[in-house]
Amino acid sequence: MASGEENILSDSCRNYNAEEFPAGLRVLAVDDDPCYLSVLEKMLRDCLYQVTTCDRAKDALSLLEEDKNKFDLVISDLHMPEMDGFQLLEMMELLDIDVPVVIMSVDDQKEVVMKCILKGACEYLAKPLQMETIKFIWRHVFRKKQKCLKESEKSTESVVNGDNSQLKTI
Amino acid sequence: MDVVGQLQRQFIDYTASLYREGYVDDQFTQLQKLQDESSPDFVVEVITLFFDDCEKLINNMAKAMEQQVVDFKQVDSHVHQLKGSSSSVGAMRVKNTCVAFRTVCEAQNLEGCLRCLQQVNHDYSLLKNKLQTLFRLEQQILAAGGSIPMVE
Repeated sequence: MASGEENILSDSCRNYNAEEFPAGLRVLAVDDDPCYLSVLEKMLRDCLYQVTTCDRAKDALSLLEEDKNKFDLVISDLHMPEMDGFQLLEMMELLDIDVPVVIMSVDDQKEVVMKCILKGACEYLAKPLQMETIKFIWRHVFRKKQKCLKESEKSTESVVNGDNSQLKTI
Repeated sequence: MDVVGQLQRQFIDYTASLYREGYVDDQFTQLQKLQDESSPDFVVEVITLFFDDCEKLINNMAKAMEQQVVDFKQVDSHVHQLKGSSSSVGAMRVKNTCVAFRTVCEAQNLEGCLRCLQQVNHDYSLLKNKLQTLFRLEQQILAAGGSIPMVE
């Protein structure tokens, strides 16, 4: 396998160390409500996560575009002016930023929850979040990393077996 | 009972009344639990942010309703924001008024909206007074050398 392809496959699995979870988890928290952002930030820090906060989805997107590997998880409010949670999910998909996203909202209509999941959120949580919920948010990152590793192993196997169809085209 | 003991008793009773009378709910307890040595003024800081947000949003709602043609969607978006921030800090009465407010907005009922605006302003003012009293009590306890009792 060419080294370029290997880097693309193992990219999102870099820095993966099971013993390090969940302390030090790098979370990007997005909410236009300054009250809730303060509360959320405190809760995340109390879990020993590394927190970066944004009060606008556009700013969060810029940070992710700059370097998606800087974050393990995004936790974002849904209803925000200018760019909302749905649009953030869409843009992340478009830009191939595959960091897991948890959406949170005061709104809890079924259709809204479904729409979030369909647009790629890995979980929908009702605000205000409980500490117990925050403590286990790292599971999404863990699952994603595991999935990544499995895909990486499958591709390696395919190459060894002479099957090039599994390789990502650059 | 000594001064500290008396103040602590007052604090416990006052806090209990805030919950009993529906000014605050469990989320306010969560805020207090988050306060620690690394963030000793956490509750006051978040509540201050909330009061600033309240004032700003109430003003925006009032302005929107003074227009010749009222944009109910605009009003609703301000109410939705206030509902969000009030539930973040456990301001139960404010939050409940916002729920009613959203209903009249959806119905485009201007009179209903004006009533709700008055109510939400009233709820906010009351809560501000109550919490300022609570914070003053806390300061008095600390100044007298005591510690703030945890109210479950």
